[in-house]
Parts: sequence; structure tokens; C-alpha cells
Amino acid sequence: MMSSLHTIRKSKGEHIFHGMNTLFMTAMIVITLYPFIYVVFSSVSDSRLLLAQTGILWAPLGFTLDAYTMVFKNPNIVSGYLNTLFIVGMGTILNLVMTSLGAYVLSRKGVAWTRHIMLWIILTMFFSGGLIPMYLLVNNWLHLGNTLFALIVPGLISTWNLIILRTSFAAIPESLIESARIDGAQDLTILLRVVIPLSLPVMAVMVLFYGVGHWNSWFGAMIYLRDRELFPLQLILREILIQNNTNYMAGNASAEDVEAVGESIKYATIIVATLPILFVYPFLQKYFVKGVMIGSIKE
Amino acid sequence: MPYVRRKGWHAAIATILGVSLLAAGCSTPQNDKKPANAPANSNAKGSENPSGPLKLSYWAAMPGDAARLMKNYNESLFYQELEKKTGVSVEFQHPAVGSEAEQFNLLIASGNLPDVIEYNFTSYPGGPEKAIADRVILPLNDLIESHAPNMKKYLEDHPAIKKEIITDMGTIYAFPAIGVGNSNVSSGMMLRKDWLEELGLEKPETIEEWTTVLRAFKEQKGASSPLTMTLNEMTGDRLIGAWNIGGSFYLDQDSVKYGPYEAAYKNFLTQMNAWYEEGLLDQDFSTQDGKAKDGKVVNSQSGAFIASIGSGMGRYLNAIPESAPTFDLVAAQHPVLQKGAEPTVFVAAYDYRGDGSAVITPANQHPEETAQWLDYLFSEEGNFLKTFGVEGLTYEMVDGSPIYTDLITNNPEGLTVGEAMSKYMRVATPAPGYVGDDRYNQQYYKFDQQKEAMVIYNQYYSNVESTRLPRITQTADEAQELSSIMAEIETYKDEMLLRFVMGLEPIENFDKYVAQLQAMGIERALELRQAALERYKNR
Amino acid sequence: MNGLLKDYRKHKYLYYMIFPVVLYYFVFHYVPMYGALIAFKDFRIAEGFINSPWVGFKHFISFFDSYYFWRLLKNTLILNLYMLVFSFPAPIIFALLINEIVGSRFKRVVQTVTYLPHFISLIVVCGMITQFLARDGIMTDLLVWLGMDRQVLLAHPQYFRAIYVISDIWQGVGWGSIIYLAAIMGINPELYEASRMDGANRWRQIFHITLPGITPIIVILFILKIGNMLDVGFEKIILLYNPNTYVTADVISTFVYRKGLQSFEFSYATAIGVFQAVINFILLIAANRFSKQISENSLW
Repeated sequence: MMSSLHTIRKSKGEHIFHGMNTLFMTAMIVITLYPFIYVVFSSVSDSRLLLAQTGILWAPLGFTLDAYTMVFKNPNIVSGYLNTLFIVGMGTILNLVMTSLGAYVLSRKGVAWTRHIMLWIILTMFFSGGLIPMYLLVNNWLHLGNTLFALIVPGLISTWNLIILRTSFAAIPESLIESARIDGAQDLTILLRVVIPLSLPVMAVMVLFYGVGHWNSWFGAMIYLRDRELFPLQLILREILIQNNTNYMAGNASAEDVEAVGESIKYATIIVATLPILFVYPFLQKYFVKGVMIGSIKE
Repeated sequence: MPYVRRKGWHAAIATILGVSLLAAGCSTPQNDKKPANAPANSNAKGSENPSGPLKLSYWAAMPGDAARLMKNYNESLFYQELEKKTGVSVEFQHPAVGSEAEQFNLLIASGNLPDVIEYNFTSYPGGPEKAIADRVILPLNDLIESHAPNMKKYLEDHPAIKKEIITDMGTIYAFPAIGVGNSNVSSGMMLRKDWLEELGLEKPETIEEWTTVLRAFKEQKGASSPLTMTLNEMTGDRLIGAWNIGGSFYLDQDSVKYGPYEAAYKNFLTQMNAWYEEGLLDQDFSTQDGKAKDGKVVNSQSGAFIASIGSGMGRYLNAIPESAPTFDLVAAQHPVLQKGAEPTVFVAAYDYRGDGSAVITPANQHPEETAQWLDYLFSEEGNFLKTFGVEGLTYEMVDGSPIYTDLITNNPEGLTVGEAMSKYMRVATPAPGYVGDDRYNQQYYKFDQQKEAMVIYNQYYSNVESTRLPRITQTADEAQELSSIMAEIETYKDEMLLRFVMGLEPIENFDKYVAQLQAMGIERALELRQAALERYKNR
Repeated sequence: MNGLLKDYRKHKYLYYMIFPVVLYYFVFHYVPMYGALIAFKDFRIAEGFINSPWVGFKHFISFFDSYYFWRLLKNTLILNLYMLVFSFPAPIIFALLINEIVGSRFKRVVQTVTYLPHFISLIVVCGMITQFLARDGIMTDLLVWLGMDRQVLLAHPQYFRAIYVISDIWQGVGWGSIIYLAAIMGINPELYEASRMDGANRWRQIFHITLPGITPIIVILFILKIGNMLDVGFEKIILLYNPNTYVTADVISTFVYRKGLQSFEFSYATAIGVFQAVINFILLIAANRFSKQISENSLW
């Protein structure tokens, strides 16, 4: 559809613009890809050669897969994967359900109390009781401590995401909702059959935000989990990354000076812990389709 | 009509969702059981069956090496053998590496204390005495008297250690990690040995000699940053020790002093500034990270630096680049002002390590047996198991000395020495019992330069014992006041240090700087620290 | 009460649907909120919440009296202002540009690659930044070629904010554009068709259709951003700053972090958190009200 526009009306200005844009995008690809390439190259390089390396890495220094072998020898990696997959899967599903329910109700016009609830919800973005009461609640009162549910349940709804989804649901033309109601649909049906299908791009974004959020999170795990069997991938990764980092070592002396982690192992762990999630967005891109649904729903 | 009317299922779904939120809590298995007569502040885990073998719950931080190889300590040979020998089985709880302090605080807050906790209680807010008052720790004096003969004997033979590990009121509170052997100092100054030899220079001792050597490195070897370091090394007890003051609080005879507040600090700053302006001191010391420093050392941009024997020297010697085939390192003493003077202030570990000390909590149902079990680590047999492992497997006796086997030093799975040690013993990081055995250290360091460095660095260790603040503790209120004052003072001190050294602030303004420190309350801070010192002296 | 009953009958399924949501917020956000009161106590962990003594505004006053209070406040606000002016619009513009890409293959590649830096841990990213801006770093080389004196930019306070913001854009522009792209996708294609009939070129379409179409989401996110004016995450700054740059880089959260290294001062940290929350919330209300006046978009 778009290409037909371009064959009809191409001006010189638009040519130049598209040229510049392509150039710009290529540059963006290069500078955003580099960090990733750096990590990949480093992960297959010889640790000892990495020590001396400064500046841009144009190619791996001495190809070796030793780092990856060492990483997979880490028994926590496999359990980390299983844990993370569970958290991402279960967590995202629950997130979507809860957030959709909330966003739908709060986006309905003509309902008096939605604004008040919205305000109370927004308030929670600012005021919180802090770490200790939350910990006591989750660990002592709800007995979720040291379980994976401790990582899912406290974060069932992200208010930020809720607001975004609500904004999006609110933009759906009231006429469509009305016509569905006339056809006899109740609210839940409207949500499932009308609103969500019309909001596929944003729903895809929700899957992305929540899914990636779960994949990347380590803080909850650090607080609530005492069993290394339950550690998710990112926490394992973080353990390795901060060991070498002098900013985190509060400069205290220990006689038993700890051996530093091999540089390449650090990078190999990053790849292992990050690669799978990178495939989610390309997969979801097919939902980023321009308002096709709107046209098909209209009578 | 496309929409089927289904009455009521909406309500059902919503309610199910709401209820499942609460149900999620009840569906997860519960690990803690409440024994009938448990003291307050405890949900005891394990240690329940008086007629069967003892089972303890044990909270301990895992070092990075071990964390990469095991899920918990029970997978290590040491603990497996220990269980066989003592009949005590342990259920470990490990916080995530690097987050021990946070998890420790939450552990206390939740009240779910395990039977044993390994932690550095000298950093407990309010000190170990407060930890006892908070019912986090059981006092151990009686237990040690009756059930820990090995430790009892050791403390009798070493009253200085005993003074370190008791509270101001005389209570023993932990089974400590105690350094034995001459390895409390594991880091210091290092130089390119091949350069010194090539230029016909002796290892520098005085600041003046250091200046000469650094100049030679710069002019004759083309080193762009002859002396390199990171910010932590500048603010720590390193070069500053030449002026006999510390980078922070230190001990001068009987009083507590603060290095950056002393008159001699001005001389330190002047010297550093001179080196900086002349290009002898790395221009980027304040911003570079460890990786950049590593690069400079290995790429011959620097000829002198500060590093650890294992993670520094060991790593560099392992990574000698092809461009510098003669690359060699030698350890040197921290610099002094006068020829013949001894270094008095430098970084060294305490004999009582602090980390890796085990306490028994009030939740422990079998404190006597636990004390006995922990005491085993202080026996010859227990110590050997911990430090050297199993004879025939991890070590062999050669001429009366334990020598590690290839399993450790040349591990067939490709583990480094440190990693292998973590897997089979518990020796590379502090643990209850004796640490830093010389026989272990000599083998941990495989290069001769490292073994030599260990001797050089520890030569003057006894000097540090008189300049370093002992394990004094502040009360909770003192600690609060102190931290308020010091947060500001340290911010200011760090900023001004850089300004003076890098020449952004003329050294003539030193008096204004001192006045500002006073305005921020340094005198009060010194008072508070002195009070703690007085209490310590009276132990 | 009558009104509520009538409303219930009319919208009863909405009540059922909102119930779990309200329950969630009540249990996990409002129940623990008593913890904010720690700010007014001297919280001692082992004594617990009930037994710790009340100290009123002691921690707040201690914070306000701090020698560095104004500097910390200033740095926090200015940094966020920079972010608002530069970091906030960047993903929007980027999304618009992506939308203009001809060739769907290239478009997908751009989208997939530019969002990668978001996934790389901050520790690694900051390590790279430090490396690129080192004396012999690649970025430094580039800037020297463009005429700058050779220096380590991270050692100079006047450059810190620029480094922080630019690296934030670098790491976040791809990821940030996703939500705007999704919003662009939600615009009714008929609007474009209609404007084409009227002879509009691409520029007019962008300004008169696309931008207005995503304005609701822009406004909402902008208001939320204003509601974060007093928050600056400490982790990135800790990894990039040093005493040279404290004067512009030291913000509220980094100072509290350093203070916390001495002893775990929950009360103090909570008090500061409450202070930040109150100011943030006031700003949010103001922004929301303002937005209601000039547009029909608002949070509530």
C-alpha cells in the first residue's frame, strides 16, 4: 500500500530525506550492534589476550570455546534457565490477564469510580513502604519466601504498563464497543473479542515489556531466594559480573585475594543469559501491523 | 449473533483470580516448622530430631569461585567428608554473591534465623554486643568452656586473639576465622623486574628513589604512565603510609587519628601532585577502572603499580604478551621517607578475619553439639581436612609436608587452582577455623615471584599491628552519628584529594581544607572513635 | 449508597473484573505502606517496626541540613531536566524515522538491532563507556579528530551530564521507540488514505496524522516522566562517576548509597525516599492538571 504512494508522488526532497534516513539508520545499526559484537567476540577470545586489549575489538583474539564450556559446567546455569523460563512464562501470562482486566475497566467512560481508583493506583507508584515491610509480607505472612512465586506475585501489575494499556484501550472508538453491546456482549466478552484484538500491537508490547522485565530481573530473586536451585539466570550472571568490578568492591582488604573470573567467561555468561530473550521481539514484530483489525471489524 | 451470552462466568473468573492470589501463598511448600518451645525470634529450620543425627541449618556466603561450581557447599568434598566424620548434616542457605549484606539484614528482619550464621559481625550496626542483645547471637563463653576444647586451648595460648574476638564486655560471640601463618598481607607495590635489571636500578625504597626509578621508566623505557593505579589505591593505605599516616582512621600510639586531617597529609598531597605534574603518576588514575590498569601493566605503558599477589601478579604473569618476552615482576615494600625506615601503614588483613566467622543463634536447638561440631575445625584433624582435603586424593605427604596433588594444581577438568580448591576444600576464603596456612599459600601461588612477594610483603606486618585500628565497635547511636558526619567528610575529602593532586587546587589552600573538615565535624568523629577505642582497651 | 447500587447493577461485570486488580494493589501496595513510617522512626532491624523509637522529622532535618543537600537536589533535577529535553524525545523521533523506512526487510533489521543495547547489563555498558572515553579510547580519538584536546572526559564535571544523557539515548532509543511504533500502528490507515486524496505529502502526514495520533501516549509518558523528576537511578552513576565529577554527578541516590555503605540506615534512606515521593507526586499532579487544561489527555 505504501509503495504505491511512493511511485505516484516522489519529490526530490523526499528522495534526499530517504537517503539521509537510510544512512542514519545504518549508522544506528552499527553503533547499537557494536556492544553486542564486542561481547560475542570477547566470549570466544582467549582470556589472557583480553587482559591486554584496549580499544575496539575488530575480531576475536584467538578463537576458543573454552569460556562456554566453563559456563555450562556451572550447575546453576541449567537450573537458572528452567527457573527463568518458568518465571517469564507464568509471570507474563498472569501479568497480561491482570493488566488487561484493570486497563479495560479503568478505561471505560461513564463510570464514576474509575478515576478514583486510578488515582489510588497511581499513588502506589510514588509511595511505598520500602523493602522490609514488603519482605515481611511476602516472606513471613504469605509464606512465599524462597519460592518462585515470590518473584511473580508482588509484581502482578506494573502500574506503568497499566497506564499505557489503559490509554490504548481508551482510544478504541466507543461506537465499536456500543455495537458489540447491542449484539448482546457483556464486558468480559467485549474485552476478549473486541478490545484486545484491536490492540494487538500494544498487547505485543505488553508481552515484550513484561516478558523482558521478568527475564532481566534479579533484585527480587536476590532478596527472596535462599536456595541457589531457584536462582534465575540474571542473578547468576550478576554474581559473575560484580566480582571483578572495582566500583562494587568497597576497597576492603582481604588476605585471601580472590582470583578474578576469566574475562571471557564473563562475556560468555552474558551471551548465554541474554540470547534467548533477544529473539522475542523479532517474533512479536508480526503483531506490529497497521490497524488491519479496525477495518475488518467494522460492518 | 457472534456473542454468546454466558451468565455468571465473568463473576466466577474474577473471583477465581482474586482468590488464586491468596491461594498462591498457601500452595507453596513451607520449609519452616515451629517447634513447641522455640525462643522468640526464631523459626527453627532443621535440628529437630534429638534421637537421630544432628541436622543444622547454616547461612553462609559463598565466594564467587565456589558459586560457579556448586549449588551449595554440600557438593564440596570438604563438607561431605566432614559429615562422614562428625555425623552432622548441614542444610545450607546461600545468599547471592555480592548481596550478602542485604540478605543478612532481611534475614534478621524476618526473624527466620537458621541455626548457624557465618558473617562479619564486627560490622553489625551497634557491634556484636548489640547482636547479642538483639537475640541474633548466643554468647559462647560457657559453650566454649564445656564443649570446644580446641578453641579454648587456642584462645588461652593466644590472648591477643582473644581480645579481638570478644565484645567490650568480654563475651565471646563467634567461632572466628583466624589467620595463622605469614600471609596477612597479600598485596603491595610491584615493579617490572626486567626494566630494573636492564636499567641497572635497585628496587626503590624511599620516595626519592621511587622518583628516580619512575623517571627512568618514563625517559628510558618510554612508559607513558610509569606508576599506575586506580582511585581506591590512591585513597587507601598505600603510598600515604610513607608519611606514617593512614588514608582514613588509624592508630597513633593510643589515639585515633584521621590521616587526611593530619599535617603530614599536606606533604603527601604535594608529593603526589609533583609526580602527577611530571607525568610519573598515571594521569587517569582517578577515572580508570581495573581493566584499563591491567592493560597498561601488560602493555608496558606502566612499570610500577599496586596489585594483589594472586589476582594481580598471578594474572599478569600468566598473560605475558608476545611484545614483551622479558616481562617479569618483582614485589617491593611500600615506600618510606628515610632510607632504612620501615613501612608502618599499609593494607593488611586482621588475624581475626571477621568474614567467615560462625555464630550460633538462639534458634539453635542443639547449641552444645553445634559448638562441638564447630570446634572440630580448630582441631588438627579438622583443620587439615579443611585446608588440604583428603590424603591421596587432594594431597600427599611428602617429607612431612602436605603437597597438593594434580587434582588441585593441574586440574584435569581445566579448573584453576582457586576453583579446584573451592570444590574440594574450604581454604581460599575465610571460614571458621584457621586460615592462611603458609603451607597452603606457598602452593596456591605457583610462580616464584609470588612466593617471594608473600615473604617481602609480610616482613613488616608487625608494624601494621600498631598503626591499624583494632576491632573497636561503636554503639548504635554513635554509629548513626558517625555515619552522618563521615558521609559528608569522605565526599569532601575525596573531592579535595583529587583537586590537590591534579593541581586543580593550589596546595596553599590546605589550611582552608582543614578548616572545612573541622566545620564538618571531624573532631566529633574522632571523639566517637576514641570512645570506642577506650572501651576496647578495657576489655 | 443508592447511587452505588444502581451503578453496580448497570456495570456489574466491571465490578467483578476490577476486583482482583484492587485486591492486588491493596495487599501488595497498601498493606506494606506502613513501612513508610520508618522514616519517622529510628528503625532497628532486630527490634522490628513496633519497637523502634519515634524520632519525628529527625532524619529529614538531618538530610536538609546536610552540607551537600542543595547540590544533590540541583544535580538530580538538572540531570532529569536534560533527560526530559533530550532523552525523552529521542525515541519518538526515532520511531517516526523508522516508520519512514522504505523496504520492510531493512526496517525489521533496524528495529531488531537498535534495541539490543537495552539488554546488555549496565555494568558491561558502563565498562564500555569508560573504555571508549579513556585517554586512548575510540570515542576520544574521534573527538580529537574533530578538534578536541586529548583528555579523559569522565574526569571533568562539565561533561558528565552530556555523557550520561548521550549514553542513555544510545542504550535506550531502540527499546524506547517500540511503544511509539506500536502506537503508530494503531492509527487508522483510512486517515492516511483520506489525506492522500487531499494531496498531502509525507511531511504533512507526519505532522497532521501520525503525531496527533500518538499524542495521547506521548503526553501520558511525559507526565509520568515529570513524576520522576527527583529520581535518578544510582547504579549507572556509581559506575561512571568519581570524585572529580561529584559536583555535577553526585545525586541524592548516590549520596545515600555511599552513606549506606557505612551502616544500613533504613530510616534515613526511607525518609529521603518519602521526601522524593512527596515532591514527585506534587509535580505529577501539577503536570496532570496542566495537561488536562491544554489537551484532553491526562492520567486521571
